[in-house]
Amino acid sequence: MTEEKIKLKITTPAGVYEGVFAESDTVDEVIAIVVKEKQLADGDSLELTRDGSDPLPGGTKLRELGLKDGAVLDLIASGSAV
Amino acid sequence: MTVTAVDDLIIEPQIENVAQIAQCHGWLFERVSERCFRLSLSARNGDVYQLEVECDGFPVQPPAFHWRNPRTGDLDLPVDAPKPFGFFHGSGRICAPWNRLASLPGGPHTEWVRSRWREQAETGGTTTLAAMALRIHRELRSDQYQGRCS
Repeated sequence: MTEEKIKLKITTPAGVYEGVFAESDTVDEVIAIVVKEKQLADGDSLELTRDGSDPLPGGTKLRELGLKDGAVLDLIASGSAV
Repeated sequence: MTVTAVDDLIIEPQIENVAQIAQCHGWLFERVSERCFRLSLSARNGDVYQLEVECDGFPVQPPAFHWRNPRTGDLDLPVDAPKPFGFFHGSGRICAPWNRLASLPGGPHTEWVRSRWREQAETGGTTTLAAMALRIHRELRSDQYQGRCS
């Protein structure tokens, strides 16, 4: 059985990452891939959000999010408010 | 190579990253000068805010995020800022070490040492212009957003 794929644009502190992910990938796995590909600092606290939403839960699979091909997600450095 | 040229090498790709993100989200992006740009972001209820971002001295100094009135060009008027919550401070300034205005006279944290902004715990990973723009976007889209100051 072929794994379904989805193309995403992910905005990050280092610009935009465009990639193809398996729909079975979890949010945490997506974050790890983008951190590696965009060479983001490993220790930074990062959250994946959709249009400013609350952070997407790390264990959620992409297929559960109802995303369409080409969807935009934001990887946000979670500096605390002052 | 001069200090100015070195700064430009750092700033230019960072501004380009913001421009790419703006294109992804459909935000209005306008380059004002080599070290200054404007960005329009929409809030949860559709309110639109324009920011003018001055990057002189960045990254040694944090950039300055001004709320701008797109009709008059005025900067830092309360009516052009969101109602206070989170790091949207009652002073009308974004209260974070990565905003130079937060530590200037009239800002909420004049005790902050601007040259050490990257080391402050509250900065977290918000050290690039793109990270800052995304943080503001996140706040404007949050459930806590309650409209524009009046």
